[in-house]
Amino acid sequence: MEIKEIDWLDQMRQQGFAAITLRVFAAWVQENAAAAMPVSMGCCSCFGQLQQVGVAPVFNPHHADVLVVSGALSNKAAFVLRRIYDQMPSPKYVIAMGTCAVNKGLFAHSYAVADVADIVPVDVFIPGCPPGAKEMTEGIRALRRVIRDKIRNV
Amino acid sequence: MTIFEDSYFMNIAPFPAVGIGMGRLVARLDGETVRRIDPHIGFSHRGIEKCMEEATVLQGLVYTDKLNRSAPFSCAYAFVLAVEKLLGITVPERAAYIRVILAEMGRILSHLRATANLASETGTDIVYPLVNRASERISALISEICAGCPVSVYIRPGGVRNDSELETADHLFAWLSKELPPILSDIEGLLTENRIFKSRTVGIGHIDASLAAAAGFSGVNLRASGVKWDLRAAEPYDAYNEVSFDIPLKTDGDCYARYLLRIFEIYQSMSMIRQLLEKMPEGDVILADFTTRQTEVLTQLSRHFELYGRGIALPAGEVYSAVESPLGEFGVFLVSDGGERPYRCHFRSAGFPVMQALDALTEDCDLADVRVIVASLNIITTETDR
Repeated sequence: MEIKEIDWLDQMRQQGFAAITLRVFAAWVQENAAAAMPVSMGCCSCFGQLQQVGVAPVFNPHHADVLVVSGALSNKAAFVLRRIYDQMPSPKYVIAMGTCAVNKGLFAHSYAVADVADIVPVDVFIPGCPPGAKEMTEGIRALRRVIRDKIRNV
Repeated sequence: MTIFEDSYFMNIAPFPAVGIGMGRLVARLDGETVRRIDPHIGFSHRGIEKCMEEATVLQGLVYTDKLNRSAPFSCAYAFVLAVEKLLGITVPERAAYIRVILAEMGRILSHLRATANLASETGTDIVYPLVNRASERISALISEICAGCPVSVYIRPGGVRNDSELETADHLFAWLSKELPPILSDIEGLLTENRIFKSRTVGIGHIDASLAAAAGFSGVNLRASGVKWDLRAAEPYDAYNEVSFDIPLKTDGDCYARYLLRIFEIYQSMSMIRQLLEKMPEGDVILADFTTRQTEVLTQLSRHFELYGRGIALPAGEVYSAVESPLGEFGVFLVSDGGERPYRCHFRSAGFPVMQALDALTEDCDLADVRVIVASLNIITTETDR
């Protein structure tokens, strides 16, 4: 943010307005009502898990703030995941859900499995095989922290 | 295939729309009519067969369980049966009973989920909450039977890991008589005579018996076409010859027949579980060679090391063993060279032959019907791609 803009905001505030930049406002909306796109590769079904913790899934990358990747990512699906990520509007966040998505888990020796963190930048890792509702809630909280930190650093 | 002037290609993805796994269908369309469907496989390929070669039997169990999470105790069961066939052992009677009960509970769970998916593709989303309620209860009951043991390693060579509590049978009876029937009648009331559902499924995705058998169909998809083939009756394993059950059969071979068969099979599974619970024998649940439970601490430690560290030595040879999983025949072909880890482990997945017949199934159907047909076949891509 440029210094000019901040001066202008301060002036507005001194006059008694509640002033906020659009970017901060967008991040505030994202923090409280993130639309998550589930991409389920392997055995964890992130769709149901997301619904359990109260996140509304969307099935279009253009509408999504958060990409939720679950399961072991095969080499063939890695390109698809990257394309989905590229189509999402910024600012965007990624959750890797399940041990396989976090660090390949069981399939560490497999020739066919890629690391999610190598394909897309992951913000939150949720371990578990499969993660329970408690871990998922923790993960969503961690994501909100990540988004909030981003507001502070703007 | 004739080339049509106005034809164009269209991606139908993701498939399945909801749930686990990932796949892609490429359709060649003539207006709204599908002329050809190319299923693209391999998006869920995790190299499990190769991973199995580096794993001992108890580690391999965890891999096989990951093949199909929507139907617990289907894939790992076949692997355990193959190992037992190779070792030439027979499990205690009580263990065989518990296994069959668990397999049938997994079948109920899988069929319910398949029905919910089919219903949602035809526009009846209300089935999902009903099925979620039932499946949460089934999962709770399964973990109660497993008594704290991770579900994926409960069924193991030599029997089952540990015995369940005494009151578990009462809970199962209560669930079978009080909790499940209302949910099932709700689902049937919503779908079976529903005009919209019938208009979307009757006569859609038809496949006749000869083609289905030639393509390698099995399970519900084959029986919906009128071929009476069920491994539980044809080659009974464990306690399946102790129970009497019908094999529901339909000759229409369409989506509606597959839906009806799933519902009928749920009732059959319920009656099987009830019969098994009534004549459940007493005794051990695992052979002494395959458990760490010993009287002395030192022998217990050495057994633990032997079982989990070194693994169970498999005699050299090759063996094929199959179970009637909810999706169809799931088989394991196991080759051993005498070591603790299998030399080769191949899976015969039930969904793979269905994938190759998708083109025939969707011949000249509407674009809107493709998703209904795929949902009615209950293809789980993680199991298909291995």
